[in-house]
Amino acid sequence: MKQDKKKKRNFKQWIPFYLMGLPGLIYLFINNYLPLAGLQIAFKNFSYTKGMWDSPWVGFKNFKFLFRTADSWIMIRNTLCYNIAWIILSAIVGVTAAILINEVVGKLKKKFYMTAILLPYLMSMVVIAYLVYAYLSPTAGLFTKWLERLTGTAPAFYQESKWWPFILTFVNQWRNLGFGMILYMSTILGIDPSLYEAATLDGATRWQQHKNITIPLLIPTVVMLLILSLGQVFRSDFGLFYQVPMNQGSLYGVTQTIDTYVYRALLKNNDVGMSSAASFVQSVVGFLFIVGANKIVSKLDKSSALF
Amino acid sequence: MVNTGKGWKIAANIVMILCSFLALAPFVLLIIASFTDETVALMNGYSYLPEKWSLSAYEYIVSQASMLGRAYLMTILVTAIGTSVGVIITALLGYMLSNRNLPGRRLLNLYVVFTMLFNGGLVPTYIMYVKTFAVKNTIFGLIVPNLLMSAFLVMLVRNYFENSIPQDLYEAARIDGASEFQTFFRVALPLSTPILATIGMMMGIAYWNDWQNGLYYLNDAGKNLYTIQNILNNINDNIAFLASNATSGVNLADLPTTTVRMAIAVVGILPILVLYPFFQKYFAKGITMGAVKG
Amino acid sequence: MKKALALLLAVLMLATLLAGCGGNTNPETPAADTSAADGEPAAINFDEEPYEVSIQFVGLFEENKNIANVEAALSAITKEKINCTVDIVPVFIGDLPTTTSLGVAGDEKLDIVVAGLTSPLDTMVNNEILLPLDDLLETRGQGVKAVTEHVAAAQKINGVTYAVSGYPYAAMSGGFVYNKTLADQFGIDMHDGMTAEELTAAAAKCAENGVYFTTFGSSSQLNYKFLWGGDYFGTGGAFGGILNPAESTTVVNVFDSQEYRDYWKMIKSWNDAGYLPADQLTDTTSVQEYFSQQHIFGTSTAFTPNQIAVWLNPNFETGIIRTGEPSISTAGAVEFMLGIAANCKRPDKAMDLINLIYTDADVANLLQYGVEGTDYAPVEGTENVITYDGTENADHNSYYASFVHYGDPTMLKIVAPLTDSFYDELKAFENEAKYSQTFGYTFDGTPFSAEAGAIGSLLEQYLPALNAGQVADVDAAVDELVAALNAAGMQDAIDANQAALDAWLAENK
Repeated sequence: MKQDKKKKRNFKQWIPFYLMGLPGLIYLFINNYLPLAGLQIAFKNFSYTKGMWDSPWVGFKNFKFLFRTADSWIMIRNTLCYNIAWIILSAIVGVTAAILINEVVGKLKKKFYMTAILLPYLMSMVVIAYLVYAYLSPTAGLFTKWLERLTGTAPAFYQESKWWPFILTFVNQWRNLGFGMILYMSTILGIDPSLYEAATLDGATRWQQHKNITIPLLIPTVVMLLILSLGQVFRSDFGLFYQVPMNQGSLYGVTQTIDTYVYRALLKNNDVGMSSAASFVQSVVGFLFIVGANKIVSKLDKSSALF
Repeated sequence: MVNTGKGWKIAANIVMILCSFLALAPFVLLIIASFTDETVALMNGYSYLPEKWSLSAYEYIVSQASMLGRAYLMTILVTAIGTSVGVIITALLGYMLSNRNLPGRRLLNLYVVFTMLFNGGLVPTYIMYVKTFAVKNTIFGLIVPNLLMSAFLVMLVRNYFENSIPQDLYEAARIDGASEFQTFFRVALPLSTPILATIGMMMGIAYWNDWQNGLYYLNDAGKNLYTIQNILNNINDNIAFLASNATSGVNLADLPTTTVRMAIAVVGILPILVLYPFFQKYFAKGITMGAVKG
Repeated sequence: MKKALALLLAVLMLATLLAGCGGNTNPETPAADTSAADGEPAAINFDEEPYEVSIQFVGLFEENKNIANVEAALSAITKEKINCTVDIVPVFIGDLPTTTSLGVAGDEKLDIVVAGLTSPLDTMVNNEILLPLDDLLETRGQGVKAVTEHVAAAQKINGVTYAVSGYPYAAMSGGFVYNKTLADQFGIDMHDGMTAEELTAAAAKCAENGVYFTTFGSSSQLNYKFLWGGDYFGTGGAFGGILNPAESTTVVNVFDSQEYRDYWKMIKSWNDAGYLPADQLTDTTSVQEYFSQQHIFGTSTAFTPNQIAVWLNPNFETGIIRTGEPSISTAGAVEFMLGIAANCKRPDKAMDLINLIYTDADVANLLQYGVEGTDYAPVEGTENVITYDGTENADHNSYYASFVHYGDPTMLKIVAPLTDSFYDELKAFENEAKYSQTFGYTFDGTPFSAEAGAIGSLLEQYLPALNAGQVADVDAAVDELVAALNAAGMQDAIDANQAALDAWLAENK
């Protein structure tokens, strides 16, 4: 926006900036970059005695188990589909919720809504799995019983896979709504109120105000979150896909993701090499997605690009 | 309806009431379940009106962990230190990256984003922290590894500094002769309370709920440092282990109950709920940008 | 962009380099004092400072309040006998694999570690977490060698001993533990060697009285302990198994066997008849809890002479029956072992302590049960029977070993309700047991780790429903499972296993 005002400053002027960033950069270097030497474990037969440097190389052997199963395609499809659908859905739901909560007048009401909606985010997936079961269990589920009373019959949720894309999507959105809402809300709070005042004077409706002010100003945040989420496109919330469907074999067709497969495959003999290999693949795919998305975004609007 | 937005307010309230209900209903069930008698829960499942109430889940937790009080203090200490340090370095880095003219900005952005994608895995991280930095059985083991800063939050702050605060304000301060640090503390920070509150809350929740650092970086010699989540997680793991190894040898008298998990969740969540409203004032206040500008 | 990537690469390389400097620089093998000539017992050096030997003590998350006193009492003996002190390190069972492997990786103080309990011996050996023990056993471990002699073959991986059996009585048979109070009430006659038909009849009686016969939960484990024994290779039988190991040496895909199909059909008939809880698969309540709450009549378990102690409950009388013949297999012998960590600084002292545990009753009893009077009390009128009741340990939080077992069981005290005759029962049971033909053989599955992963995932997918009897058609489900297993390469692994076994048999028999 203000790019034209760019002034060439001499390097000395930038030193304070670098100093500010330095603690963070050093932390990331230590916490994230130093251990990256461990990526080689994916290509090694890891020995705890020899350590990562002296363990013998084994090439791509550790990667084989990912493709040794007939279900490789299913788990990749599930991981990608859920992720992409949820990235889009979360943006829409989050922005809507943030706009709506800003419409609420009254401190107490607002506080109540925000506290309540954030609650699910504080629960662990194990507990959520229990709660979902309490509602959907075939014998004593609160929701199943209610359905039965209403319609006479209730589906056996834990045996029919057709319900799970919806249940998982619901649980995911339900859990993360509070997080997304607060995230977008903090951006909305940063919008200059005079913009709205001016629009009101011009006779703009509430809808027009949101359409022309709020949403456009939220776009950079939305785009940034979108790009960042694409980096995780090959990963999945393990607890959601493993614990919530109660690890039911008959549901694997719609609940098996790369993470659950890796967990199940390595459950009994936790092989460091093989789990590193899986994580390596997830990272590489995420990296490709993020770089690609960033490239596309920077073509459309340079200032929205991440890097 | 035009302009006043009355319809919007009603709609917003309806939607929010609905959302709150969806969030609260399971939470209430969670609390009730934790007070439900074990046998009743086994027979009939959980319900909002259990036939028999019981405190035994909480009694079990207390009996298992005589160090609960100290663990709560540890959790508060770790969360407070970790969150404050984390917010400061995150904000500083975000601020640096938000400057569009900074030489090397693209590379530095990539440097930060890259950490979200690749990680070396537990073993190398552990070896480094234990051997090079000797954090084992120290409070640093709970604070430093993995939690102190996340690239995601850095990007969030950067985005806010860049897009939500008018760049003119920075320029104005600089022209007034403020140093970069002064500009940061006097202009950028006061204008960014909503985002700082947001990332502070996210970090606080992450610290509060973390048990992995305790699992890896504390052992029996450091058990004085156990946080509440370490204890709760250990009890939880006990249950999980016993459930998946049905025939391995353990005396029945030691057995925890299913309602204990619910009680554990309540014990872990309630303190956050108590603290949460304090954070909220930063959201509610909103920003007084006009005033600063004028 | 390219420039940025290049710079990033440079940062990465720098990081890697730095990590290399601080990292694990080729640790020299600990200087074990094995200088004494082979076969000659090494002398204990009493001139040096006593070394503190740490030993893992695996339990649940509970306080062991009296642990310092136990350590002191132990150290008093060990200082005098082998010039070392003892540090008992409580490890919660869920943390055990992480604690041990990270401890070795981080080169932390670790001496005597537990093997087999949560990570299979061969996995630990493969990851080089354990130290080879043969030389040490020869020079300083004659005592433990004698006690574990008859299972020595099973302790070896590729001819090298890496750990010694923590409970050298390895005989086991199928078993069923049940609620005796209910059995008497319902008029069910539970006796050793019950057939499938008799069990089904018992299940029907339980159902008439409104109690489920048993539950299998959503377990993906093999229920082989229930009705017959067997040798299984790889985790969960991923590399095949031998169903009648005392006679046969043919490795088969057990999931494709007629025995398994029949077994699963029986379970399905139980499920269809309502003998099992309908929501077994989704219910996360543990079997123990169902049992102690008296919602199920009994449960399958491995039978050993002291197994019943595990299932006792204050609210009712417990009984146990044997459903098969006792046998000794490699897998059974390596279920719980003691080894020495690869990074142990003084393997000689660690072996001295292991040896003492197996030869000195006082040391073994202290380690296993704690201090007499505080942690347990002798039962009057018996020779060796003890009880926790009435001591500080009544709630098991003074000093209680839930998952570990130290030393020669015939030297240890006996916990009530077992009686003084336990030693004889234990020996008789061991003598009665048949060794499997493949005893001592282990299959090195490393070349098939990819297959094992895929197979493991498939077993997780199919077995719980089969084990719970909740499939529409057993044969169809098994066919589907077997087809998937073969697609994942199981038959290749079985063939390789058979070839290795044949070679081993030719060499050892």
